[in-house]
Amino acid sequence: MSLKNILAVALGILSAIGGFVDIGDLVFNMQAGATFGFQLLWAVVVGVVGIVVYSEMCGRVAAISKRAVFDLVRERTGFGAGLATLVASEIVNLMTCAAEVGGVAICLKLLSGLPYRLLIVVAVAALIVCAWRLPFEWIERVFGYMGLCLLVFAVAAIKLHPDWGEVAHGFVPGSHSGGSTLVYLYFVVGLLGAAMTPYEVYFYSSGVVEDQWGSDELGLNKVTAMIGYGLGGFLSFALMITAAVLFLPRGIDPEFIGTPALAAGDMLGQFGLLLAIVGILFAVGGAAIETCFSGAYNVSQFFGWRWGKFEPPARASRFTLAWLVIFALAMLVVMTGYDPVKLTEYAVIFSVVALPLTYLPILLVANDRTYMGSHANGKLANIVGVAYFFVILAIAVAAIPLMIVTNGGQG
Amino acid sequence: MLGRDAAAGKTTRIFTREHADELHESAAKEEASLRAANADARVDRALRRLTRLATTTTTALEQLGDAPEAEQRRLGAQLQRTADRIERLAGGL
Repeated sequence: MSLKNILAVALGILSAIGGFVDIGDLVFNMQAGATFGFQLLWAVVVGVVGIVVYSEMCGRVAAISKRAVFDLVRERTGFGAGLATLVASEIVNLMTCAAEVGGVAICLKLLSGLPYRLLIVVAVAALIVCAWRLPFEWIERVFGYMGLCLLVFAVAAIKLHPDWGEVAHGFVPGSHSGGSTLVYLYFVVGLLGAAMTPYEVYFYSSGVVEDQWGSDELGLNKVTAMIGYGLGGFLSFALMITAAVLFLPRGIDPEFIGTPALAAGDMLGQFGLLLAIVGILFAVGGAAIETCFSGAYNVSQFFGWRWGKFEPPARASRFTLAWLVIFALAMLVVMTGYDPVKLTEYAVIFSVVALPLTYLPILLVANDRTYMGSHANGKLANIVGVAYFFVILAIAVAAIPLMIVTNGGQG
Repeated sequence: MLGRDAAAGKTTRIFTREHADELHESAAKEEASLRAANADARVDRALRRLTRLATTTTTALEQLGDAPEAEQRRLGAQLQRTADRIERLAGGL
C-alpha cells in the first residue's frame, strides 16, 4: 500500500470516527451514564460490534453486487413488505433528520444567542448549501473532522479520574443497581438502536455504490467498518463515563443538548465548552445530511429512479427533489417547537422496530453465491450475523412496549 | 453546576444565558405541576415545601443568565443548597 493510500485510509478512518456520534448516541449514552453509571458500557460494545458486522456486510454486498440496501429490500422481501419497510424507514429517517436539525439549531443558539426558529432556518439553509455544493467526500470529511472536536469528552473522561476497575466492570453484562430492570432494559434497547441505526447502513451501502467500489476495495471496506466504527465507539464510552462521574452523583438529567457541553466546560473551561458545542454541531450536522440522503437513496432505489450525489441534479431530479423535501419536512417538524431530544428518543426506539427488515435482506444476499460468488459470507460472518439478527429481533419486539411502560426511560 | 461554572469563568456568557433559560423553562414546568398536584395529608407538607423550593430554583435560574459574576456565584451556591434540600426531601418521601 502506497503512502498516499495509507493517508487516504487514515483520513477516512478519522472522518468515520468524527462522524460516528449522532444525536441518538449523544442522548442515549449521556442519559444511560447519568442513570446507571458505567453499568451499560457493555451495551455500547454490543451495538458497535453489530454495526461493524453489518456495515462490513452491506459494504461488501454493495461493492460486489453493485446494489445498495433498498434495491435488495424490494427484491428480497417483495413489493408489499418492501413498501412497508420503506414507509417505516422514511418516517424514522425524517424523525432522525428533524432531531439532528433541531440539534444543529440548539448548538447555534448556544453559540450565538439568536432566536431558535431563525436558527432552524439558517441551519437548514446551510445544510442544503453544503449538501448541494460540496462533493461527497468533502461532506464526509468536513463534518467528520470537525466532529473530532468531540474527543474533548475523551479528555474530560480521563481528567475526571473514574474508578477504572468499576469502568472495566461495566463492560461485563450482569446485575444492575440504581434503577428498575425495565428502565435498564429500555436503555439497553436505546443504546443498541442508537449504535445500529438503519440510516447508517443505507448511507454506507449507497456510498459504496456511488464511489464505485469493487472487489479491490473490499479490504478498505473492512478497515473502514472495523476501525472507523470501532474507534468511534470510544467516543460513546467517553460520553457515558463523563455522565456517570459528573451527572449521576449530582442527580443531573442531561435532558438538554447544552448539558453534555457543560460537562466538557466543567473539566476543561471555556475552550472545552466551545470544542464540545462545535463537535456536537458538526456531528449532528453531518448526521442530518446523512439521514436526508438516506431517505432519498431509499425511495429512489425502491422505485428504480436514477439516484446519486455524483449525478447532476437535473439528471437525478427525483432523487434531488426527495432530499430537498426531506430537509423541508424536517424543518417543519422542528419548527413546531417539539423538543429535539424527545424526538431523538422516539426516532431511536422506532428505528429499532425497522431494524430486522433492514438487516435481513443484507444477511440473505451476503450469503447468496449467485450475487456474491467467492465473496459470500464465511462461517464466522454468518454465525455473528445470525446471532445479531436474533438480538435485533428481540429488541425490535421489546422496544415500543419498554418505551411505554418506562415512560421513555423516566421510570 | 451551571452557576458554579459560570462564576468560575468556565462558560461563555451566551451559553450561561441560553442554558439557564432552558433550565428555567423546565423548572417552571415542574413548579407548575407541583402546584397543581393533590396529595393526602401525610405528604401534603412535604409537597408544599417542594413547591417552595421549586419556586426558589425557578427564580434563581431566571436571574442566573444575566447576573454579574459575584451574583452568579451566590446564585450557584443557592441552587446547590436548594438541590441538596430537594434531594433530602425526596429521599424522605
